[in-house]
Amino acid sequence: MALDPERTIAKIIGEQLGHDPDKIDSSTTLDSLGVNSLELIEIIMTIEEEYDIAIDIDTVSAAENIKTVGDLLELGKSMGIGSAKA
Amino acid sequence: MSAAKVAITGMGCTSALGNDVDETWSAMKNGVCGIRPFEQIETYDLKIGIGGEIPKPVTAGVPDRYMSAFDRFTLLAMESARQAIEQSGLDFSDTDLANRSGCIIGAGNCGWEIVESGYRRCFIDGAKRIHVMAVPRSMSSAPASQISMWHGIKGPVYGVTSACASANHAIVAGYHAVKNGEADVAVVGGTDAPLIWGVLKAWESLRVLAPEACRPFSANRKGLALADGAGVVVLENAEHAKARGAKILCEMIGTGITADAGDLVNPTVDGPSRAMQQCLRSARLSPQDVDYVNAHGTGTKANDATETKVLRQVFGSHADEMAISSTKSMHGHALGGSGGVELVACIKAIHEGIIPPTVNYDEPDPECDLDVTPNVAKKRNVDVAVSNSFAFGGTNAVVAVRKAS
Repeated sequence: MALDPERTIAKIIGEQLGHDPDKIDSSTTLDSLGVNSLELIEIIMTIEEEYDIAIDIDTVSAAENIKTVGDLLELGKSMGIGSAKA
Repeated sequence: MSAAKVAITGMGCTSALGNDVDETWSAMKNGVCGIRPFEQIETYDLKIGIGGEIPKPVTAGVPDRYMSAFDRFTLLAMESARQAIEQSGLDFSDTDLANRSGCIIGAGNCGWEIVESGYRRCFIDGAKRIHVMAVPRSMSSAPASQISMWHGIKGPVYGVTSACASANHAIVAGYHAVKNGEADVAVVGGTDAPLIWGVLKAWESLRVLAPEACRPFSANRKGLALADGAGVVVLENAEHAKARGAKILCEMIGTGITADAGDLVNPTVDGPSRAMQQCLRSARLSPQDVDYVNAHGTGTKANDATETKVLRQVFGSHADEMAISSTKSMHGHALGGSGGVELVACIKAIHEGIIPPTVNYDEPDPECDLDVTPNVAKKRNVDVAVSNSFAFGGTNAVVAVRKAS
């Protein structure tokens, strides 16, 4: 069975940055994971690939507006992840 | 023995604004934007649709027979060097002159055309080999080497790389070679030809490219626009130039190079400020002496706000008195070539007393509250101009030029 979106995003971040995905949830801040602006874009692009969606956000806006894993999840949901179509 | 004075006796460029200095400067002072929808390159699946293409094909006088040895970034540098050397009147068939002359050319990338076409042939077309010229065409030092071979320059010849500051680092290296007496002449500058699928695709991933226009220092700026381009000048020991009766376009009087040792892509105030201060010190200038700064001015949120802080820190109240502009708004960001084109802009600003504008400027940004010469060129006497290059990786290089005395 497919993971729910929160667990999928936790897994993507964990694999990319060498963190234990089980210790990552919506309340986890990106600062606490040491995510820089380029790593954040790479995470967003991996989410795009995973769900075959396009998230239209530039590097500056992403760094300014996405502070937690929950923010990433909401951004993904606004593009349809977790719904029937994605 | 005191250090030599360094004159500039020739200049050349190829940019999105024109295939030579006259075309480029004419467009620049008229506020023409050379960043347009792509017409020449194969874009495949690229999302980005704009950039600064060179208006006309560049052959640099290379016969078709030899063209397979040249990638585009080398041809742009070759053409710019041809213009600069012709203007200088130097003839390197004189063995002593050839041995006392160098060529140092910056490139942030390399010869990507031959790399990409080779991979496409192998991975897509199933070819078993790539072109025999792949290695000598793609090497970052190819522009310096080819210029040296075509013109017979036999002193210090090498490539320099520091991403978007490559041209200025090459110019600094040549300046010191002439100043320290290692060479009488140094043909220096930078080049890059990033308008090719693989490079553009990589920049797309960084998500810092302007979607529809490059608007440096404007509140609604959304990023930079990539461009092909090169700029080359001839630096010459001033006494050498005078002795042969050469026309001196201007003097190069100071340089500053520093590193941020900070972030891969986000600039600091400290590193660029120290580079500018070092440049002023080495040129024996006080801040009040500077009339024009050709800003790095990429059009990204981070660069333009940080560069404003740098200019305020270095120049204090004089920051509001001097003219500033980003000519990248017109010729785009040619990466390792930008500093070369921008030095040409500084020299022409000195000659004509005209500050080229920052075009596509829409809205003031409180974080960029300097006189950036919005949209329209203005008249102003320029005795001293400074050109900034601040690169990814935190490498900074600044050069200063002065009206010929």
